[in-house]
Amino acid sequence: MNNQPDQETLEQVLDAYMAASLEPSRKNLIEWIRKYPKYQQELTDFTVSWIQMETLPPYEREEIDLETMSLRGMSVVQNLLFQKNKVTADREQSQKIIKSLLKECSSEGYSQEQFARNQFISPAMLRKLDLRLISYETMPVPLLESLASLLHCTLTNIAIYFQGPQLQPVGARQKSKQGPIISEKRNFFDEVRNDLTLDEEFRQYWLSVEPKKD
Amino acid sequence: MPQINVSQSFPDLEPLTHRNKHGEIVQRPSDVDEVIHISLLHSSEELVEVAKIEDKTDVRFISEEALVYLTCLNFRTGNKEITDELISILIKRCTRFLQNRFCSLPENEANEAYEKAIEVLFDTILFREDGRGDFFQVKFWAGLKRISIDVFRHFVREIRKKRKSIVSLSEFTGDDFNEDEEYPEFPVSKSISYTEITDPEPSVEKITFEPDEIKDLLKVLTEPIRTAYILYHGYDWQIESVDPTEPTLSKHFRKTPRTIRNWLYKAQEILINNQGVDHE
Repeated sequence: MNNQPDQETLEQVLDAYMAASLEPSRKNLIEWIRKYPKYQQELTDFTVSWIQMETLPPYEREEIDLETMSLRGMSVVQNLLFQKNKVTADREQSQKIIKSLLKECSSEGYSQEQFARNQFISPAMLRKLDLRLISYETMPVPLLESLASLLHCTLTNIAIYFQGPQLQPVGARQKSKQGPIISEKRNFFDEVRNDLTLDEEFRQYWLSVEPKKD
Repeated sequence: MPQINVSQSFPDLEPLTHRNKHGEIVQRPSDVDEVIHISLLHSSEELVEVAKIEDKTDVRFISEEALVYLTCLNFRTGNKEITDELISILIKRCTRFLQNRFCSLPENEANEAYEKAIEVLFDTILFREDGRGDFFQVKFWAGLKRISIDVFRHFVREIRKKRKSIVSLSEFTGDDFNEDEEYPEFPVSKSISYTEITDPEPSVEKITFEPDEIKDLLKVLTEPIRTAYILYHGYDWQIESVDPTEPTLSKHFRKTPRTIRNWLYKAQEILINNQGVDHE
């Protein structure tokens, strides 16, 4: 975002001051203070630092190897590039919007069966999750974490998806003039108990993590 | 530089977006545009070879401003290999400049300052979303000097914080003398110059000194009197002024004019004693 005219920032003023001044001088400083009185303190401090940098005696040290220093500089830039790439990747991940769980698992290269098995659920349960028929509040944390990990997104992305309204199955038609009656979302653990296609091993696992009712 | 009609021979370059203090979009100098256009005709390998040329009189020399454009272009188009090469070349061109700017800092701090300046430079060139990196395609060395001053300032502050009164900034011993001590009144009119300090019995003919000679002389002074001395004698700063816009030593150091005069007198005394000359 660029600044509008007449709203000179300190940064712009110092850049212009540098570009216009070959070396620090009192006369020049006074001229710039008169042009930008609100930056008097900053212009003065900046000029004093400039003068110190140019005039203070050098610290005694061994001969500097410019080649080594340049390599050191290159390493700094490589590190900067790595950090920036990581931030960009993290940002992209955090901004990921899941529109369909089934499409996401397909784009990650999984079949529905594979993906369901990786989540310790049945393909039927996966389809119910896809249509948001299961209440987010009842979903166990290990399932949410596993979904986030396999889909390369954050828990927030997963939460946003499941907290959305229930979806209609693809190809479903509404013939009635009245809108569809939306049933309440189902409890995850009830689904685990009632799903006849779910592996018994998986059922036992999920029921072992079911929160105890008071 | 070969004469080329840029507008007819080459496609447009990526425009700059940064605005100056007048709100105008900054413009690359036309000679920088020309160098960029010519550079874009090279193959990647040729470009790297030409970019390595450091002799400014060589017609193939690529200025730093043009190198910044080429680096950004290759970075954005994902040409990692050539981006790395151009970054490395730019770093090499900056290293001596930065080393000289930070030579008055202790070794560790000078190295850290160098690294910080490089980091800020490339962060600005490659990543700043406000377009500030554009400034480096217009006035590279002014931009780098600006960064070096900011970094220098930061490290001086850090050193002061860390060590307070211990030796730091090339014998930066801090406030190690009693500023309230009474010294003879310092003459307000400037009767002392570098020349007179180094030559207590000046001849009519003034002696010119090399900057390094003065720098060596200043080693014996401590802060803040050394900076006060430099500002007063080297940069013509006043101790006090009735003009509120005039930067003065008294305002800058937040000390009374009397204290500043004491500092200057003390500095004068130290310098003369260090010359082995009896001022009396």
